[in-house]
Amino acid sequence: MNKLWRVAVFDYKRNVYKKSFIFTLLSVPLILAFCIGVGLFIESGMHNSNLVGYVDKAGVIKKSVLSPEIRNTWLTEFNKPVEFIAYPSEEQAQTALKEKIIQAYYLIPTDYFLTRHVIQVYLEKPGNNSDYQFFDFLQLNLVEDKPQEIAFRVAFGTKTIVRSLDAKRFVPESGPTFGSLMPLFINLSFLGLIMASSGYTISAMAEEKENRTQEILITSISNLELIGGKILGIVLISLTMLITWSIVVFIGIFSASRMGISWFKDLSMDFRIVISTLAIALPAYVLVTALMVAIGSAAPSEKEGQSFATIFIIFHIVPLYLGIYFMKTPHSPVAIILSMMPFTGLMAIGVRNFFSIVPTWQVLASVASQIIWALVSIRFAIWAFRFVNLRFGQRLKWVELFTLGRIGSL
Amino acid sequence: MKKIFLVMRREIVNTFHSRLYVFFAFILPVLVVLIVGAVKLIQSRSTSAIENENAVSSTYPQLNYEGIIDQSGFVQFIPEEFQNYLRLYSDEDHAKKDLQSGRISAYYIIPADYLDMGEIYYVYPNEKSFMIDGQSWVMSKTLMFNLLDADLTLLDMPWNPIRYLEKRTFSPQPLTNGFQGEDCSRPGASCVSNDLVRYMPSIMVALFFVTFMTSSNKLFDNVHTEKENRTIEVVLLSISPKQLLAGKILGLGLTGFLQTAVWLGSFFISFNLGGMALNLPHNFEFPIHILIWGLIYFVGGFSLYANLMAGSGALVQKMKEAGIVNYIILAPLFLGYIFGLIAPLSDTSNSPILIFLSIFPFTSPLVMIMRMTDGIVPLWQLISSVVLLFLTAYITLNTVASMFHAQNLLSGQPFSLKRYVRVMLGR
Repeated sequence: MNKLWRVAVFDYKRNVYKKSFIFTLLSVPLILAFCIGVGLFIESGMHNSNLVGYVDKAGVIKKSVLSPEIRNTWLTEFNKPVEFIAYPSEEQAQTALKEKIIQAYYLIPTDYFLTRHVIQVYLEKPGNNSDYQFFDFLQLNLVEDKPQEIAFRVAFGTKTIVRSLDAKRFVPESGPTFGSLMPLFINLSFLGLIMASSGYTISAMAEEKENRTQEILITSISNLELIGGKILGIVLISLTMLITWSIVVFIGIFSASRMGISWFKDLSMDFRIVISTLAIALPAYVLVTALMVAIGSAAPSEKEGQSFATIFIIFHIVPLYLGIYFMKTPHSPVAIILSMMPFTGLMAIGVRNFFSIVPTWQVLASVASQIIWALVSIRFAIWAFRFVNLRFGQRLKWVELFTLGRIGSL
Repeated sequence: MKKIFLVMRREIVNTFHSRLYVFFAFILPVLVVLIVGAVKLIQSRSTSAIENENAVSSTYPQLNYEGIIDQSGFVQFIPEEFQNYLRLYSDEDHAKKDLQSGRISAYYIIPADYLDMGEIYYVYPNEKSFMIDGQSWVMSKTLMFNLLDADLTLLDMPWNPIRYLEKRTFSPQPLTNGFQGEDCSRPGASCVSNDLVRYMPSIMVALFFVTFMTSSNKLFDNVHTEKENRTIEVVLLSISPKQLLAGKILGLGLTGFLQTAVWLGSFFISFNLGGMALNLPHNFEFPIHILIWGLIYFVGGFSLYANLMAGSGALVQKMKEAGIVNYIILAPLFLGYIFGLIAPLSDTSNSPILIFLSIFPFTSPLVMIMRMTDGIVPLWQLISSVVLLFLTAYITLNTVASMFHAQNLLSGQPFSLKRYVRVMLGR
């Protein structure tokens, strides 16, 4: 046990006490923050709060001054809502547009009540919010003779919140909340962890094999202690990364929430999904780590091992590329099969859980499948290590390594 | 020239010996086309049956039967057009029972505070995706009908106050994608009703990103391996660094180019011939000019990033450092990828920052392809972007070739960004 621990500590120190590790630690939260930042930046560019004009030739707009309640609703929905200015003629509106007093103007033709045809005129594409607000503005004026609360509800419509049958999941019309996306982020961080640690795992085995240290090591340490120590060391490195990422993410969420970014206000999440995600992620991680160890010990060089590891990572990403398909049919046979399979199970369940509720039996079956595959892969890693050592100096074919019958006969 | 050709030939032969390359470059795209063709064949045989079914369907063939639990007491009337699709329940338990037995496909809960809050709950069976809109518009229209005291003549006006929004611009250049309303004859955000056509610009960005990544990584590996096993030192005795680099870039570029061309060709065949199999609109055509410009951008983008990766491959001492080095060198490409992926989804592909990124040489190979697929790009932007890209690629070829000297190849120093930039600048 002492030797196993010493191997783990040695591998941990060798990888963590390096500048490049800091880069790896910070890269994932930075990439995540960057993607969210780009999304928010692009979204902010879609809004424009400059004035918008209108020319009403049909006599629809009778109430151009709006109540504070309506202004407040627009303020909540659009952050910086536009103000509408009436122009008596199109020429005056055009002049205002060319002088950039207004970002666009709407022309309501005389035959509007027959055709409901409206013309939007602009120099540069106006913000999307102007269309939405003008739509509300028209609706308010079309029912202006109704009581205020009725006119308000007609204009601002009905907000549909999709609810699960057991009333534990809610998806508002405006899109998923940060809390409902959290389980998917946990899945993605495990994927990031697998990708980041795969390099360490392969090199942990391949490097000592390449420089012939391995043969000296196994004269004083058992195979189990060496492999176990290396896996433990990598798990510790991964834990360091996971804890750091979690701290950075929580600081980010806390700051965003304090800054008043509305998307980060609702952080409630369904803990059943979080638990099921972790239950699948842990064995899935062990499975990949053990396989990487096997590949690292069998690969003739670190480079060859790395290229083989890429294939496992591609399998993990497949469910992400099938995201739109899963959104439409989250319980299709393909989705269920991918949820049960090694490598794809982690992301398939994660993506499906985001769009729908995965039945408990499928989650349990996936957990069981991942655990079985993880145990098989640990056994396989030890077999591979022994097999490669016995074949000292000979180049190994991958087919030979994966022929379990031969390895089992050792 | 002969030496460049020899290096190039060797790289091509080596790449074609890789089973992984053959699979991804030739077998997979052919499989895609075959699958699309097979689906189309099956669908064409069943079309007549579907047409017959549609002929006997009712006014709203797609509508499902749904329930309402009205806790507000607000729903007094159901419009005549929906009376066969909506059913009132006294409590949720009954609705839940009917939902589980399949008698209704979903139900709505109208809370007591509906008029103040305007929120209703839409309950699906667990098998259905939460992100699918369903037919909540039926309930919204029913609620508006009740808000307007069941006045059917008044309902239509506020329900749909704009039937047709015509857009006019005084701008000298088309700053939007150049199309009015829904247009599914070409890819881009102007097609709202078909997801595949709408998201095609993002698909193109992803394809180019993967191709650049794999091809330039291959060059990095290639240079680094030859450096590690000392072949490069021997080779450089009889060939100039520029010839070696040019040969490698041409060889690997051609194989990457072939891979992209095969994939683009399979996209072209699948999208144009397999329209029905992929549920593409009848008038949809994948523009041929995107393919031509796509290949030009591939050559420029690949040359630029291959040069940069070859340079870093020459400076990296251990394969372990490769991951971080790749991150640093490919960071601008990643930036272009993220912007290129998100912009068409949010209909902002012609915003100033995207225009800048489509001209900036380190991001233009991805962002310009996205913009071209999404809409019309002014010719001056295209030309300036291509000129800048090829100019930058040429400059990097010269600077990276200067890295292939013994003092860099044999220095044994670990890779650092500072050293990389210093060597690139010839200091």
